[in-house]
Formats: sequence, C-alpha cells, structure tokens
Amino acid sequence: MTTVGQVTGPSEEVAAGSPPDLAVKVEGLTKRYGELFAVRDLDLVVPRGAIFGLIGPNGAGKSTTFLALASLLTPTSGKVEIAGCDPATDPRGVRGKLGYMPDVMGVYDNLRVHEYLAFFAGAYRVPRTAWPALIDGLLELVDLSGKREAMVDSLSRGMKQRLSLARALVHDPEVLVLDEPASGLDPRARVELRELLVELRAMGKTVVVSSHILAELEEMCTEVAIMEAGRLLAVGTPRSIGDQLGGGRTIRVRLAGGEVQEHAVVTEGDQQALLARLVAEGLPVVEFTETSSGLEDLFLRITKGVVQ
Amino acid sequence: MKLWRRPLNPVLARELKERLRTRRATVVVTAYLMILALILQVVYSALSSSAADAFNGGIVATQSARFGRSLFETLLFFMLLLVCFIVPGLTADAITGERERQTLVPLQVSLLSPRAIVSGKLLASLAFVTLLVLATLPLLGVSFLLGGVSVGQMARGVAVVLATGLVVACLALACSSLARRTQAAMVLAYAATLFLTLGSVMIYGAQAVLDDEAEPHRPPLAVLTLNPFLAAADATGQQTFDGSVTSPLELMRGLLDEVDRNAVAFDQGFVGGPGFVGGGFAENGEGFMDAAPPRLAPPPVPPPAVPSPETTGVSETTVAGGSGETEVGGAPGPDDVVSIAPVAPDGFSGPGPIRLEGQDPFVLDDDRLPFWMWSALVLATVAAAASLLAARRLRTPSTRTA
Repeated sequence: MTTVGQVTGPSEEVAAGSPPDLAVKVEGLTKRYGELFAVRDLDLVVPRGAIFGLIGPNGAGKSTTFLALASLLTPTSGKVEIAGCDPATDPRGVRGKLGYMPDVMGVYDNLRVHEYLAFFAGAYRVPRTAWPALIDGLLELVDLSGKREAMVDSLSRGMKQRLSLARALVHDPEVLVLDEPASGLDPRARVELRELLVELRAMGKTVVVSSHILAELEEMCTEVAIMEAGRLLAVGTPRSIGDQLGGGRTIRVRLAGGEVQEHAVVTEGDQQALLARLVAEGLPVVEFTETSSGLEDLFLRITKGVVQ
Repeated sequence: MKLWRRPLNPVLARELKERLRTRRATVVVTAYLMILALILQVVYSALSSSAADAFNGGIVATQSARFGRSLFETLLFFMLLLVCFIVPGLTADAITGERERQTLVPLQVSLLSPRAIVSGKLLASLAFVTLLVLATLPLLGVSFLLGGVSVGQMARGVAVVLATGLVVACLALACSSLARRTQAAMVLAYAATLFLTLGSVMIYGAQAVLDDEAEPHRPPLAVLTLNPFLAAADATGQQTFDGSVTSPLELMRGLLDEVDRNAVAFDQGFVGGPGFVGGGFAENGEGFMDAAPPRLAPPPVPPPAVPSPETTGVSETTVAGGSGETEVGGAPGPDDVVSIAPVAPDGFSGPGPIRLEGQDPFVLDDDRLPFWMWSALVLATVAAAASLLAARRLRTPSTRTA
C-alpha cells in the first residue's frame, strides 16, 4: 500500500481541487459498543478503479466498517473519506457518491421490479424523465430485463441480490460498497456476480466488497484485506497476502508417472525455486498447481477464530 | 421549484401503491363502512321512533332538523372513534416494519432526508384517512338530507376527523420510531391514543378525587386540551341546552361547559376545588365524570346579578350557523397557554359567591380563545414534536438487530 503517502492534504483541499485518486480512505477507524471493539484502529486505502475485498470471519467488523463508509454509523474515533467526502460532516455528499448494498436485502411486498427501482430513483432525486431509460439500463446490466413486471418478493435470492445491486447503482455512484454480496448464492450466481463486478470496474467504478470466504473473492479482487476481531491482519494483492503472512501455500506437483507430491511454499520466490529445482532434477512434471485448500488453510490459520 | 411541479414524495408514492394493493386496505374500509352504517341504522331508528312518539306519529320540520343534527354528530363521533382505532394500527408499523423487512437502511442511505421519510409516511396515513372520510360522505349525506346540518358544519366535521387522524398518525409514527418491533410500536401507539382520548379525561377526574380538601387545586384543564373528542365537540357546534340534540358530541359539550364552570368557580374563590358544582351535567346522569361527585355542596347562591334569562343567545341552536368558530377578539386573554379561565364578565369582578344556577354566563364563546383552538394548538404542538422525534430517530442509524 504505497499510495498512503500520496494524499496528504486535508479533505477540503482534496474535495475542492483535483479529484482524489483514492476512492476510500479509512484512518484509525474505531467503533466501540461498550466494552466491545467492533472495529479497532483500522486503516484502509482503496485506490480508484480497484475491486477491494474485505475478508474476515463473522463478527470481524466488516459490516461495521461498511456502515461507517455508508455514513450510517458514527465512529468512536478515526476518520473516513469517500471520494473526498467525510461522512461525519457531509453525509449527503457521501450518499450521492456511494452505492451501498447491505448484507441482507429487504424487499417490499407489493412492488414490481421496475417500481422498486423507480422508488429508489426518486429517493436519489433522479429526474423523473430519466427514469425509464435508467431502469431499463440497470435491468439489462444486472440481467433482469425479463423480470421487469415481476413482484420483487417473487424473485430468487440471486435475482434479489442483483436487483439490490441495481438499486445501489441507481444514482451512478463512484464507489460501490457491497456487504457480502455472494453469500447464499449458488456457484453459477456467484460467477455471474463476479462478472458483473468486473464489468462495473470497467465502467470506472470502485468496488469494495466483503466476504467471509477468501476463495470467493480472490479471483475478482485487485486487493484484499483480511480482518479479524476488528483488526486488520493483512492487506495486499490476493497473491502477496500469503507472502506477507509468512507462507502457507501448498503446491501440488504431479509427475508423469502419476506420482503426486505436495510442497509447502511461503513466498512466490519459494515457488519459483521449487519449480526450478524440480526441473533441474529432471522430473517429468505434468502439473504444478496451487491447491485452493492452501488458501483456506492460510485463512483459517491467520484468523484464529476468536470471534466465532 | 413550484409546488405543483415538485415530484411526489417517493415514500408517499410507494406507500400508496403498496397499501392499496394489500387486502388489508379493502378489509379496513369495508369494516369501517359497515360499522358506521350499522350505527347510522340504529341511531336513525331510535331517533325516528322517539321523535314519532313525541309528535304523535309525525315529524315536523324543526324536529327533522334536530334529528339530522343528532344523526350527523353521532356519525361524526363514531368516525372519530374509528379513526382513532384504525390509524395507530396502520401507522405503527411505518418504521418498525421497514426495520423488520431490512428496507430501512437503503432508505437511510439514500438522498431522502429523515424529514422526507417521515412526511411521506404521515401523508400516506392522512391519505388513507381521507379515503375513509370520503367513503363516509354518503352516510353523512343521510343526515344532510334531514336538514339541520350546514355544508360548513359538514366541512368542519370532516376537517376535525382529518386533523385527528393526522395527530394520531404523528404519535403512532413517533412510537414506531422508538420501538424496535412492530408489536411494541402498536402497543405504544394505542396507549398514546388512549391517553389522549380517555387518559386526559381521567386525569382531570382524578384530580377531583385525589384533591386535598384543605388545599384545593385548580382543576387541570390543560390536560383536557389533549382530548381530540372534546375539541371536536367544541369545534363543530354549540351546546343547545334544551336537549334537542342528542349525540355523544353534545354530551361532551355539556362536560366542557361543566368543566369551564368549575374552573370559574375555583378562580372566583369558590371553595371545594374541582368538584362538580353545577347541575346541568349531573342532571343528565350520563357524564363519564360521575366518578367525581361534588364533595362540597355549593353554598347558597344568590339570585343572578345580571339579568340573563334561560335563553341567552346560545340556547337557541342556530342549526345552520351556530358554531364554536367565533371571532377571536384581540389577543388571547390568559397568558397561561392552556388555561381556559375566563375573563370575568361584568358583574363578577373579584371573588365572591357566584351564580351557578340557571343559565350560565360562562359560555365558551366569550372573548376568550375558544377551547377547540387551544386544543388545536396543543395537539398541533404534540403532533409536531412527535414527528420531529421520529425524524430525529431516523437520522441516527438503525441499530442492527441480528
């Protein structure tokens, strides 16, 4: 995270001057509920255009952090900035720039899909004349065009999740904060969601997304942070996370004869060295893969399950 | 932006759409109309038979007017009663319901201000009450047909029902913002409504029961201004005194008159505190203040100092125009916001025995601000405070119930 030093001026200056190249900045965020620290001294920097994953077990403080980002929670201490706006002093500014999707999507009982979006378009003060095009565009984006007239509560979970995402996009926000968007989705819906997020990134949006499953995010995120018990354990690209934390990848090597070896590696350097060694030894390597269980192991190891 | 070009409050638009799609709306309107129709039927047959008895089988025009007036006021009373019963139930889930359906957070994070959310909810409730009132118009039309009720009176009655609905909705909304669950919000909302309607009168009555004879207190009139029924009674017409109009509202006018006389008696140094000194209300034997009988007999009352025959002004019910809506001359008399103590009329300067028999000079429409106006002020303040509280509670993020 070398970008920390780039934004040094106060937020007003940033807001007034050139657009900040940081989508989200969190400095020393702390939220206390009585004796319990939901989030403790959290620092995060999300550059523009990133897909940033926040990973941690239940109760790690992900949702609390997101609520603070969404201007719905006053931090005990610390500072949050969304695209140059501080939720504490300028909640409306933040709300205009941020699309927030909570972890549970509530639906209104007697509303059709397009009416649901129209309601939020109104709530975000989108001019009425722009509604039809906006709603059609959003429905197409989240692949719900066929469900335009359906009642919201008749949708499947994956569809509701996508509708919820469309709702968060109604005011064309710069930053999207999605709290556990993939939870409870089947693998296919998960893949679709991932594609959608990549598409949104291509549209120039910054996406901050949380999950309690590392594997769920590692393929789509440009950066990942791991949290537990309100603290940040590691930040980096999904690849470098393992390195930072001192290892924990398992390499599966299959030789031509059908022999399978498992090697524990720590850094990418180790991985190169291992491959070089295998090749140097003249072994007939047909498969050299990192097993995904390695990441899960790593995750389980570094998150000690304090809060479970 | 011009008012008519402003987009409809999104919350209001959605609430209307959603509300009218539920079966609940249909059921409520139907049940409401059936109850009122039944009441109309019962009252109509009761009144027409008694009127027929009195006039040997025929009803004369003046009787018909009184009959119409009684019918109208009875209907109005039950409209108020039903609105007080329906509105808390329909409004108490306004915020808790969103919270339970997990739809509150997306609303809070949108560009809608808490005030816009609250006003959208309130307007939705008001719209429903308006629907109820419009649905009642045919029933009210029956009384209109009989005469005795002017269009202005009808409009005032409708306005009173709408205003009461709004006040109750504000209270219910505040309860909804305070409670975590809809059930709790419902209980709170009905309790608040019950406090306004019954509680206010009971507090007034309790004063009479609990008051120390050695140290009498002024009757807590302030609390009566909280009662929308009393305000409605005062706002929609005047007491007839001759018993020609029989309706619950007429009864309440009697009560108000009684209360006023008590306050005057106290202010004039009349010992005994807030007992019921006059006879008018007790004679009826129908007052719900009977729990507070006079404990001190009124002292001998001298004959009236000011000649005021039985029929001063008010006793002749002008069926069309006579209303509590009198001109407010000058500044409101009492500094005390809720006091309805009168400015002593001529002949009553200073303490002394006062005339309590016969026609009472302390009618409600002297140069004081009329009771219903005080009540409107107090209730408007209560409603405004309640809706501000609700908006405030919405501003702070919802505590998450896992």
